[in-house]
Amino acid sequence: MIALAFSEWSGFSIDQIAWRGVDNFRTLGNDSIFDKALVHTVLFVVFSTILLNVVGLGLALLINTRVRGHDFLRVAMFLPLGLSPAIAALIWQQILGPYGFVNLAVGKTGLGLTDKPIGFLGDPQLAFATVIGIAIWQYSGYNMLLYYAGLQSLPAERLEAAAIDGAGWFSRLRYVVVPYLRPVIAVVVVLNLIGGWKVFELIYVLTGGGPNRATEVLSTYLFQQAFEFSRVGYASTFAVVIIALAMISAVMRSRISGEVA
Amino acid sequence: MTELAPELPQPRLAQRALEAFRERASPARFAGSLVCLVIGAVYVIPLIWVVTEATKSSSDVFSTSVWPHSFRISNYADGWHQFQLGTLFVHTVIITVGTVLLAIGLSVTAAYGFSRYRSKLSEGVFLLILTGLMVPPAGIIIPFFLAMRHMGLYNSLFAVILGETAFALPLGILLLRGYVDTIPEELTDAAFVDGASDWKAFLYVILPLLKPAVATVALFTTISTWNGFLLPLVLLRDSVTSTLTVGISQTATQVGSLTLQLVAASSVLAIVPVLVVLIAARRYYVKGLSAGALKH
Repeated sequence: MIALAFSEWSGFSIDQIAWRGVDNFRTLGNDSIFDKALVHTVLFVVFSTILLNVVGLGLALLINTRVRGHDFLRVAMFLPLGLSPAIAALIWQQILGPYGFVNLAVGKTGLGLTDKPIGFLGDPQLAFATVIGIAIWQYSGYNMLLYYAGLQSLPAERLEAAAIDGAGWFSRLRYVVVPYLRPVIAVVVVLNLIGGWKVFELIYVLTGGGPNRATEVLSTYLFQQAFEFSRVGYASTFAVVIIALAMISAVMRSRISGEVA
Repeated sequence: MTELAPELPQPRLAQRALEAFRERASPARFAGSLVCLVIGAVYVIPLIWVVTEATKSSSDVFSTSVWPHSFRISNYADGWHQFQLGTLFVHTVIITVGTVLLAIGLSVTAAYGFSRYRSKLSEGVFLLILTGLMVPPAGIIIPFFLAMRHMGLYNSLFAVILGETAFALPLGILLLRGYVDTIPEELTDAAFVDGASDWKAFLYVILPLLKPAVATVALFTTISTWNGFLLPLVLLRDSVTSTLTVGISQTATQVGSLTLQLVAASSVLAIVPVLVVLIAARRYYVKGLSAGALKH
């Protein structure tokens, strides 16, 4: 069993890198699409992690107030977690299309400054932001659940004491809640980073890396090179880069869990 | 005394109720509720939209009205045929069941070993397996594909089961080992004194106690395998021999925007089983989520 689990991970470095080493990495340096894909991957990971944490913590705090309707929000955020990113991508293609809900709603309410449908996925300027938005929609429930679980153990006396001392909403958040959740935040951020490097099918199905490579990331470019253009050796160099990036997050994770424990 | 006692708490209770009511009715709480509803709507509207889209007529899909005008339940049957959902469902179920069984069997036994036979070597191997949690699938798909083709397993469901199992094992072993750690050694020692072998102690003492943890691992494996995409995409030859996620998205790209309502209907059919499982077992999901994320 252990041998099985291993044959994939270690099998990798032995046959691939040794064989076609330096030449492929040289090509990599001159490939402007690779540069784009690398930049997009890093931007995707950074922005999705920041937004997931802002949205996840913000809504966990809101749900933790237990106002009416907090159950609805919690279940609503939970549902997208069960969806396949591929199917989620198909669903969003329809919602954002020219006859989709968003464009119809914008058209009806007259909020849109243009009378043309907005090309959320077709416009190179917008497509990348749209992809990140959909990732937030799908995964913020995960962060919310983790932060909500963390908030359950926050001693209410601390908040009360701060409130008696005259701390407002924001300073209670800044000086009581966030310091208390610091270890949780650290772990969740690293989990989001690790998850971010794994992005593939959402983008593959949603845009295929387009329009004009505006949403190309390393994994989609790797798939295209390896399985559509049969440049397996060249594509393997991307795999090395992806793994290296993910391992940087992994090292961060082990540092953090060492610190927490 | 006896007469007064029941009287005393009452004004307090009333005051508390009043305070609770004031707090509940404050404008800030009302605003909070409103925000909950609006943001919650953002999360569910896509799902509601795809359900209404699924029963629209082919012309209504291109109508400019937000509200649906037609209700064609037959879209589900049409989608089922056009997307060959019967075959895709069978494949997805085989892969999911196979992966869950294999992953549970391997991770339960491995967790027992890692928990009860500790050495420097086993701890090292355990850490190596944990790095599997962090490896992006795209990073290892090429060598895995080559290995499977070399073994003559290309285009076989078993190859997908092997791959999905490899991705499911790290989390399974992590969660289950943590659980085995909490089972006191005395329980197994008692069994050993009675002459039980390791295998018997595992089977009759440990395994029954692991049921809730096994359920959690089974749930996570079911969801991730059912939703798996890259492995079936790479390992199975064409959309007809593939799984729901790959088959539906490939056919959707081929048919283009002509039959959006059938894409929607097929998507709904593909996500309903997994959402039902997720909602039914959501306690296990939340438990496993925080255990897997925070415990380690």
